[in-house]
Amino acid sequence: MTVGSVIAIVLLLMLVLLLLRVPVAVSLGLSGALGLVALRGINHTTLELGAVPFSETATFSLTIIPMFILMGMFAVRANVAAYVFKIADRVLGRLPGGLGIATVAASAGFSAVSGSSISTAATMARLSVKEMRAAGYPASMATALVAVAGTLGSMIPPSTFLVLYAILAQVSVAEMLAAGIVPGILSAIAYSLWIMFSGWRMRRQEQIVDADNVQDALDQATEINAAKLEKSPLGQLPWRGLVYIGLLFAIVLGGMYSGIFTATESAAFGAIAAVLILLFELRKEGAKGIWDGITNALQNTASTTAMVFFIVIGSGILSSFFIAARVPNMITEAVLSWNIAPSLAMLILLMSLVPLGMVLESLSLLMISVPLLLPVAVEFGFDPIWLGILIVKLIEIGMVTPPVGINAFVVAGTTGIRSETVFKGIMPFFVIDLVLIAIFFLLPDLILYLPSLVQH
Amino acid sequence: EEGIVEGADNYYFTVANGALDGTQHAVIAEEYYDAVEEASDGRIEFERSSFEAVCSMDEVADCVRDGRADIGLTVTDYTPHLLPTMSIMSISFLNNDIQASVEALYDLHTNYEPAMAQLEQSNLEYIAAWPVGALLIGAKAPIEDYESLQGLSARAAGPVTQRTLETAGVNVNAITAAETYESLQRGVIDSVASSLDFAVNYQVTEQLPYWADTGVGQYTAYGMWWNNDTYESLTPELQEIVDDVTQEFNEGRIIELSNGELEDICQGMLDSPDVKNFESWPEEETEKWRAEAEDGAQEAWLQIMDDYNFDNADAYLEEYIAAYESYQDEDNPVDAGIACADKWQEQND
Amino acid sequence: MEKLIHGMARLLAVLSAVAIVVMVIAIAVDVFVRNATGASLPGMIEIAETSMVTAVAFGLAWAGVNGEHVAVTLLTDRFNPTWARATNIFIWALVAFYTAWLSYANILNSVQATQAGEIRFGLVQWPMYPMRWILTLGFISLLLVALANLYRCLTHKEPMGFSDELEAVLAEEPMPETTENETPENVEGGRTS
Ligand code: NA
Ligand code: NA
Repeated sequence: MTVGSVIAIVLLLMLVLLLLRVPVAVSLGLSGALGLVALRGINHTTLELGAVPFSETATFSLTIIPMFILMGMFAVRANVAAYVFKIADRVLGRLPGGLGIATVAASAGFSAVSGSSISTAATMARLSVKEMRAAGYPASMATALVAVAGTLGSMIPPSTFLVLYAILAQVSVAEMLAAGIVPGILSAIAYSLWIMFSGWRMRRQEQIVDADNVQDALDQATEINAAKLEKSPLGQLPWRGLVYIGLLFAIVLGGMYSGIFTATESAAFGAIAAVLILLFELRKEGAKGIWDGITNALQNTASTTAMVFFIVIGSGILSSFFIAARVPNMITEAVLSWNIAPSLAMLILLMSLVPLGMVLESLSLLMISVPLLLPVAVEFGFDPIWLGILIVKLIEIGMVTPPVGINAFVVAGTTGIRSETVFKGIMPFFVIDLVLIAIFFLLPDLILYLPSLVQH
Repeated sequence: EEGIVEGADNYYFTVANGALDGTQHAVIAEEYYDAVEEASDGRIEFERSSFEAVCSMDEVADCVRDGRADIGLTVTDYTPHLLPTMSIMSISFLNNDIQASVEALYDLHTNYEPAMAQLEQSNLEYIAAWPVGALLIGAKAPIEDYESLQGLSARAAGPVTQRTLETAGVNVNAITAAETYESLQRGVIDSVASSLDFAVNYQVTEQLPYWADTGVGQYTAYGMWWNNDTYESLTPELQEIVDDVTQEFNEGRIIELSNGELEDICQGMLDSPDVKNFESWPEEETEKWRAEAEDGAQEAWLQIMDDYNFDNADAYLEEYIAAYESYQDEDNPVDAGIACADKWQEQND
Repeated sequence: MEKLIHGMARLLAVLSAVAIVVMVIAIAVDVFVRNATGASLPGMIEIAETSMVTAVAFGLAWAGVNGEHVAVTLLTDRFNPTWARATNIFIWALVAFYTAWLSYANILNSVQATQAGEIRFGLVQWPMYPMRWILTLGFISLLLVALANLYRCLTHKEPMGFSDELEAVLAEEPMPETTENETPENVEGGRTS
């Protein structure tokens, strides 16, 4: 059997397993493992299966993910989400798609504290999906919006991906982080414009169900005691929700920028601050209410963390197979043999990250793509910082595209909405992201202006 | 078609790469693969892989041990339980002649029974171990003497280095490499103890204007190994070809390549507009530190060897020092990290 | 038997939650000590790392009994009961096979690491092999859940935590879905067909 046919069979098998409702983690891991057996034999594969789970989990910097998930869970139990979205709805609600825009804005804000897309998506999913659905957003739109807005976590600094890229590519970390700001904000604005447009279109079609009715139905259906979204005068709005969010931001951001703790450590303090807010909010519910609130949040964090990393493990095994089959190398070699204009070759190479991102786990993709693309880019005279932003942006796209889109899975897992529903809503955002990439590709100054100010 | 093909004419070997592109370590490995391929007339070929593509840095030795990769390189202290004998590079003030260190370790791992047995137990065939470069200290304020180290909050790794730094009153912090830059920027820490390539490749010179070679010497090593079964599967003729290349590398090529690359990395230090001083301490300042810390460093190392159940670490240390002294030579090349400090002084005088 | 597995999953979930608390505390203590003395408290990073592994490994079974391991239900929604049951048997047989393989591989890996006395150099020397055993136990616990679910499917029952209670209720609740289906963009590709 040739390597090419093994790759084809593995991809087909993975697709069939996914479609037959085999858990995503198992679909990825098992097809990767069987592919490895075909290429390297069963002993080698068993060794990989023994080693990958450990190396995908036993890393200090990953602790940021469960801790930010926990912070989000506490914040939700303390009704912070409900309060803030009530305010957002009241303030931005007049705008078409107001709550969706508020979600994107909140994601962008949260991204300035969160270093990872997954934790941003998980936190914002807890905070906003239920409220958006209550406000009549289609499930696909509400969840896709959160999954996509979550990717801002890797673009707006701090970002573990940008730091990792800077190290791999040997460019300035400070410049790399600065480079993420403009693309991050532009992405947030572009998403918001689309949400506003579709909100406006939906209003015209009078498709929005009365928010109060949906909220009642959803409350009954889910037995979650969310704060009611009744129309109240500005003075009676739960402004303390904003105070809580401000407090969390101040503690996390302030602590980090004042040098009290690192980005990873900030997550621990975010979680501690959130539990204090929870204690304050539930103070009238007695010891049992508080205990239930805390343990419930902890158990949800535990199973969400396990679910996410089980997928990361499966994806790690699949990536091992792709590397063994030299898939990334084959792509580059093919492109280089075409003998075309540098910018077109660069564009095609970058675009190869879209199909790769569909199936590969984000961190593996970063690790693979840098050594493949960077030398070509440098040879053609492209700026490595510019390349880094485009790579990270494309990897982010991979995090929301089917069949393997970790952000979509995380949102699906945290909200209990089907992952294909999330994927269904991704399409317009996918198109927007491609347009953004075209803009960043053609106007490198958008990316490179801020880093040039960092220079000496 | 992959891995060991018994009795076949050609061998394709998987590489576990634990060295970042652009570091001296990556260059040494590349040159070694080239040399083996050439010397074997292409009968041995290596499937090169990018950094951490096959195994992560702290798994490389394990990957080579269990056969997921046929050959690999990484920092020896990432898997100290598999490679305790190589941690000898971390003893402060001991390894100032880098060529002597490389040759002494090669000698011991090809001739000294306990060291050979230790490696065989890990199913590894020794290629080489070389120092990562002299331990430099970078700080936000001038560090021109022993007393100025007092009270620094530094990012550093490794128990022996930690003990030595603590003797000088340095507070040691555990910060990941990826978070070092931001931690410096925001004042979580105010200094690092690292090699030249970390200083330049992780951009920390942007945050730390003052650098010193304090004369503490090496603090850890990169190592390179064959999987033992892979090596044994080679025909005797090919084994001899490989052995010859290995010997040539240990007898000077490694240090030559390493210093050559470090000179390029040094250029980053020389070109940096942020660096305000980079100097080698005068002998008497190094002596103050050595007097306080040398015994403690050896003690700390012996304690570690004891934790790994390596019998008779004292004898191994003695053996190493004897070998090291026999290879010491005034004409041996100087660590390019240390030479870089002199270049910086020349350029900025 | 099933009660026992459910109880085990619950107990492990509690340990997983405790691990997350320990992680937060270890990191916070490290920060306080560092800000007070200028140096890290040795061992805190290692404790957080161990907690990370524990949180993942011991949450696996709980996510399993609650049906929280995300899957794509696009196609199977349209299956009739016979097909649905056959699919369920297939799914849980595969999950059992995969987790059994992972468990076996991780037992070998853990035994090896234990014999080698695997340690990592940080500011302290921290034994790494216990983390590998924790992961192994996590996979074994999920294997037990998979076997229990396989048995349930073979005896004409739904797997535990079938399609997530929350999701099941939402599926019966017409209103939000109606909104979705009536949006023009969703009609062609949607589930209305
Ligand atoms: Na961020
Ligand atoms: Na994807």
